[in-house]
Amino acid sequence: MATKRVSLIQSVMAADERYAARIRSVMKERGILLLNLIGSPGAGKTTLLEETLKRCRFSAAVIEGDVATARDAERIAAFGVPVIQINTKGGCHLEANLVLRAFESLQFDKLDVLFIENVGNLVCPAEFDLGEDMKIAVCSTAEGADKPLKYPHLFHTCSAVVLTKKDLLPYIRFDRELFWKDVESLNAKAAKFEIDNLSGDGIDAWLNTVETWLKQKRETQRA
Amino acid sequence: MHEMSLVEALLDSLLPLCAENKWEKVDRIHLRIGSLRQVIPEALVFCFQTASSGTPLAEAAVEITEIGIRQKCDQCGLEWGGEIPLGRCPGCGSIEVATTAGFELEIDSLEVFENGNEAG
Repeated sequence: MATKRVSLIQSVMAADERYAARIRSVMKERGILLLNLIGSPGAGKTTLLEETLKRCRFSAAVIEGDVATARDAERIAAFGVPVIQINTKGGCHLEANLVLRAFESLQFDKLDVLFIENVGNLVCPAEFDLGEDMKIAVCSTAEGADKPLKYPHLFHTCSAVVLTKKDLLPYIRFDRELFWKDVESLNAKAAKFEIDNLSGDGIDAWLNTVETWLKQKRETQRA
Repeated sequence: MHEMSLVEALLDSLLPLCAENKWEKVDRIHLRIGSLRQVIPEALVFCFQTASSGTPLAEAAVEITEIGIRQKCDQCGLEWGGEIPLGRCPGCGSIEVATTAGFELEIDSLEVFENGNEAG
């Protein structure tokens, strides 16, 4: 039987891209900054959020992505902010359709910043557009300094790199200079932060930057 | 391991197209995948074979063309390629660099068996 070639040239993720575009338009309409936090399991993503919520002057909500349990959502709920837990039941990343579904039970009134804590993983979450304004790479000193070059997609495409667990530096072998040199080589534009999770040292610089991003987003919206 | 998600997205795009055009059997699917996409071709093919069973795509061969990284400096116009993307132009040092290739995840084309008069 003869075959014929049919040219398509379309994105594999066309449906997903449509969901992400919907999220982007909802966020734009309401002037909400959407940040997608990506990092390994145990990198300190939830702790970063806790420290952020403890101190922030903006109103925030959180979407938590995990394979199982509502433990992260329970930690976040303790701060009295709206939180929705998505369990992927084995899925290694969040997808835009799941986020859009979570929107149905989220209160958007007077919301400034929506954080998505992605499933702990440095590979797959970087691949899926959730309609975010920015991807934030969260990496801990305990993971080792080689992570940026080993996972170039995330570190090349993120808008900020947050190095957590700075307080562990005296006890572990972590080549801090190499870590930041590699981040810089992949992504010279990314904002860079070092945070001590226990004392909260360094969190103010992060908060100020988030506030600046929010202001910038609202200014562009008005323009 | 996000290859299964990609395969599901691929089937969601292609199966309606098969139904619409009355393609009963697809011989080959050509994909273009950027090297920054972290896709393992063997895993993608394995997931595809599992998920496409019982559909017009079931016996289709999946051909993947890997697209290398290309970058361009917005300041001096220099273009380059490499294994790892750079955050700074190797020519003028500007950070205004764009990654123009390496993130593709595209269905390029299909080869379908022609069904007599229904081809088209």
